[in-house]
Amino acid sequence: MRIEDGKNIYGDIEIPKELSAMVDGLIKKDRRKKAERKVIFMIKRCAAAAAAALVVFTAGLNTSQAFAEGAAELPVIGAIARVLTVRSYHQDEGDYKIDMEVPAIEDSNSADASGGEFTSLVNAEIEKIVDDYTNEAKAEFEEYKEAFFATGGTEEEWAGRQMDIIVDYDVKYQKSPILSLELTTAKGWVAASEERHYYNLNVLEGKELKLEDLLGDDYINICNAEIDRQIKDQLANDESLSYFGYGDNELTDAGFRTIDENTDFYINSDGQVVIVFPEYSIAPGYMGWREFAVGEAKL
Amino acid sequence: MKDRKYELVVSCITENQNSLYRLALSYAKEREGALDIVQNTVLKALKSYTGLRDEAAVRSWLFRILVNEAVRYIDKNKNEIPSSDEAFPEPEYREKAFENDAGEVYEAVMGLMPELRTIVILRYYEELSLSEIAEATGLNLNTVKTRLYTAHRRLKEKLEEVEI
Repeated sequence: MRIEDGKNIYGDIEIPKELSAMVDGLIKKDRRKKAERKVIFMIKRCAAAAAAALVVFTAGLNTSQAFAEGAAELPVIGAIARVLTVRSYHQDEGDYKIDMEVPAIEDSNSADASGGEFTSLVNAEIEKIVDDYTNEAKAEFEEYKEAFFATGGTEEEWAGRQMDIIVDYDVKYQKSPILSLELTTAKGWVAASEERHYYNLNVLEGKELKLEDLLGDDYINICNAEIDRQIKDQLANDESLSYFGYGDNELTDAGFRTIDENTDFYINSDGQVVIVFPEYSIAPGYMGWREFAVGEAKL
Repeated sequence: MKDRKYELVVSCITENQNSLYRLALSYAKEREGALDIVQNTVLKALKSYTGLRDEAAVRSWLFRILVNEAVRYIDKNKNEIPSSDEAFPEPEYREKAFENDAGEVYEAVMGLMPELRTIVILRYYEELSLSEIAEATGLNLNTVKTRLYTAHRRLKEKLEEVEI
C-alpha cells in the first residue's frame, strides 16, 4: 500500500456544478473591469509622457547649472555625463523577438580623472554583458529547438515559437557627477527570467560608488535594520505577501539575513539608496523582485 | 506582453479549477466553504497577475494563493469547521469502489495536520515537483523535504504496512 493509492479517491471528489459557472463569471467580470482599467492606464501613460518631457527639460537645466558651478569651482571643467542609447535594435521574425536599447555613458569632453577611460570601461562592460547574454539566450533556444525536432516534434507543433530577448535601461538618478543606472536583460520562452545590473558612478572621480560611500561605515547595520523593519511592516499590512524566514515561514533557514558590500542597489530620484533583491532570493517567486529604500545617500 | 500574462493566469485558473476546489475542500471540509476559498483565490489571482514573474510557475503561484486564502478562511471560521472528517471522504464511494486499502490510506492522509497534508496532496495527488511545492507553500526546499518525510513517518505509524 502506498500513499499514491489514495489518488483516485481524491480525484473522484465530486465537483459542485456551480464551480465552473462561478469561475467563468468571475473571469468575465474581471475582463470588463480590466478593459476599464486599461483606459485609465492609457491616460496615466499620457500624463507620464508629459512628465518625461518635463524631466528632459529639467535635466538640461541641471546640466548647465552644474556646468556653471564646475566652471567656477573646479579647475576641470565639464564631467557632465549623459546616458545615451548607443544601440537600438528591434527584430520580430524568425526565432527571436528582440527589443534592445543598449545604453552608454557619454562623457562630454572626456574630462574625468582618467581622461574618459573610466566611462569607456563601464561602456565596454555593458556591451559585454549584453552580447554575452544575447549569445547565451540564443544558444539556449537553439538547443531547445534542436531537441524539440530531434525528439520527433513537427514544424506544425513548433508553430513558429519565438524567444523574447529584451535589453533595456533606466537612469535611476542623475545629478552631476553622480549617475545611477539600471541595465535589465530578460529572456522569455518556456520560462521567463530577468537579470539586472547596477552602475552607481561618480563620473568626475571615475569611480564606482559603494554602499559604504553612500551610507557610512555602519551601512550593514543601517540596511539590515531597515529591511527587517519594512518586511515586518509589509507582512503586517498585507496577508498575501510572504518572505522566506518570516511569519509562517519563520522556521526555514532561507530568507533575508544580511546585506554585504556586493548587494545590488541603486539611487532613486529622491536620492535614497534602494537595496534590490532578485526574485526567489528572499521571497517566493510570486513576490518578484523586492526593493527597499533604506535611507538618504550622502552625496 | 501584459495581456499574455493575464491570459496565462486565466487559462491556468480555468484548467485547474477542480484541483483548486479539492485542495480547498481539504481545508474547509465542506463545499460552501471550499467554494468561498476558490472564489477568493480567483479574485486575488486576477487582481495580482502582474505580480507573477515566472510564467512557468503559474500553477504553483495559483496554489500558493489558494493555500493563503484557505488558511485565512480557517482562521476566520475556527469554530464552525466540522472537526471530524464528515465531508472527507464521502463514505458511499469507499464502499462502492474502494473496498481495498486505498480508502484507508486516503483517510490517513486527510487526517494529517494541514501543514503536512497539503504537501502530501500536492506531491502525490496533484503531482507537483518538490521545488514547485516549495513555491506553492512559500517554504524552502529543505523544509518541504523534511515535512514530506515527517508525513511519511506519521502515515507509516498510522498504517503499519504502508510502503514508502
